[in-house]
Amino acid sequence: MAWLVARRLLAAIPLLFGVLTLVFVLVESAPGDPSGVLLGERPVPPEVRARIVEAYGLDRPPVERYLRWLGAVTLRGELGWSVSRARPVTRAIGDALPSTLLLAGAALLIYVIAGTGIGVAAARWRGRWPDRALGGASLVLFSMPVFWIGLLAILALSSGLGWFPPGSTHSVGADAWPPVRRTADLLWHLALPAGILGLTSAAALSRFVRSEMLAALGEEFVRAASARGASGRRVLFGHALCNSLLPAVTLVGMSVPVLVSGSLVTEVVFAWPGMGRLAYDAILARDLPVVLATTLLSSVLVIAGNLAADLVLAAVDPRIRAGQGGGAR
Amino acid sequence: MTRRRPLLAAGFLLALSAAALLGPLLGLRDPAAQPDGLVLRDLPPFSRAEAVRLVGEGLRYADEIRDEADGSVSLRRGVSWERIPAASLAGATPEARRVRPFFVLGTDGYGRDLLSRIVNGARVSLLVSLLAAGLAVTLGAGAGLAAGLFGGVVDGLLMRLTDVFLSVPRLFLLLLLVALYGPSLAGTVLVLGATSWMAAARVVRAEILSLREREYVRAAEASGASRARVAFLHLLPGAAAPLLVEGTIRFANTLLLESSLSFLGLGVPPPSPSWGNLIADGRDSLLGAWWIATLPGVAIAATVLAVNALGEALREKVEPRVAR
Repeated sequence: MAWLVARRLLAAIPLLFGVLTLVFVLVESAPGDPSGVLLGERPVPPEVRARIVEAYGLDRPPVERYLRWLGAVTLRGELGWSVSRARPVTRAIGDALPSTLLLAGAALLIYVIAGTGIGVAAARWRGRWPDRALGGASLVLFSMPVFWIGLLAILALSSGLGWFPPGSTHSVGADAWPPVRRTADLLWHLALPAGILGLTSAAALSRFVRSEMLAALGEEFVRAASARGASGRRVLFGHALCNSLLPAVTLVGMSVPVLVSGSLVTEVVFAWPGMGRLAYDAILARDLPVVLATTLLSSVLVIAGNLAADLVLAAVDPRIRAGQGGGAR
Repeated sequence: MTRRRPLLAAGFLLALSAAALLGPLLGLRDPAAQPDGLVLRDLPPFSRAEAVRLVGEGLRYADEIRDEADGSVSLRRGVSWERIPAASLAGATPEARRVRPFFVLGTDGYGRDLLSRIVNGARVSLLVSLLAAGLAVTLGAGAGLAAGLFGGVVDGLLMRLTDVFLSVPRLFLLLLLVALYGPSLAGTVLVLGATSWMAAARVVRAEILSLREREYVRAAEASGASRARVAFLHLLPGAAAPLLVEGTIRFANTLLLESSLSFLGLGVPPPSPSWGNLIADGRDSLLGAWWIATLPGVAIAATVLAVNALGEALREKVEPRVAR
């Protein structure tokens, strides 16, 4: 197992370098003078520009700049200075990351629970009305833009019914409250954005779980279990679901980019002070180092998500641990 | 039911495209016209406006109209009243000079007709998504074909490149590209296409790898057909069906991405608004005038739903073994 973890971790490293290279190539190929990109479009005295060119090595050949940048990012964790937030980019990201992790984590949880639940229910009542209703509802939800559902939810559930706050992470004055009340307040603010983000992505998972369940329910060992007299529930959850979840883990890992992308618009709609919001504000303020850093970090989240899915699979599937592949059919 | 659904979806998409192309011919109002920013502001759906016909220059809108004894009319516009003498009014009787224009979907904050704007937005949104999906499928087919044909280092490099592109969340990548190149119509198409080719590449590569072992391809190779001939005449057509399915899904996906990008103000720049722009426009007046932001979203959802239904039907044709 330790060997496998090490191997998967090692496999993620070239991917990270690939992302770094891609970002560098994109920035290099952009029109205009790179010092202009760094400085934004502000009027700057020529001697300041010269100092910046010198400091960032902009007068050096691209390969040297690439290696320097790579070294700065990977070895020293230097991501530059955020002009719009007037602090190091690492600090700006450090401030925003917990909110994003909370939002994306909660959405992931809802995604897994709702996706699996809907898939199982649809398979259980295959062809009958719950299957058709759930299938139709997830298809419709899947076809709607996340930000638009967010706006509808704000319109109906926050300003209409007043059940949820329309945005932000906490109520005014929540800092002074006792921890329990503060946590409840946070969850109350989290419910709408995380619920929408999780539920809109759940359609893909539920359809996958449904078809896996149907396939599993038709297999010999499941039918043998029913024939032996195992209860319907035991067959459904104990035999069919357990075997359907294995390939679903891979899908969950693959859906991390969707959740991270979705969290960007969700954060903008719900005024959630996370990384997506940071990236968005940075673009409006032409603060490129922050945009670069958020792009890199969002990729790290994706790579970590895939890695985690791989490791979970390896932990539960003995075939993978034995190095036979399998699992992800 | 299942048989009718794709037909219904195709019909809807055709009607939508036709309306988008022929908008003005269908008697829709000019989507950019602001006939009256004061009176026609934020009219809810299904409302009628009040107006009088003027000699020569069309309509004068009002919140309230009163016919005076001397044949002139008094109009209330907002809080102020104004008087229009009988000489500048067209039509002799009070009935003949009154009009009550109908706004099916209401108007936006500038008094522009929302229906025309949504139909006009379809043109931009559909065109951008179609071109971007086409670009993505072409790029992907090229990459997949090269990877499947040449194998070895080329395959390895292209597939690693696919992995790298898949590792960056699409919206963050799009944001970075827009930050570097600035928003524009052509840029949106390029950027959406250039970040959506990965699935097509994988599909085509897998098809090529399996097709290469088929008898007919081997026969063509054995009979001395050139590499290019085998690739374009024998392999690529074999991958056409799954590629079409992927293209349909990509189209739906791109439509959603484009709307997100435009909603953030980083997609298609005004004055040719896409559906995402329309929603963004309505966001600020969401509580006062809910229809401006919600109705374009209905158009997006309906279109994506229809495209997905078509893709689903295509997929069932192509891969009959998919469990239903």
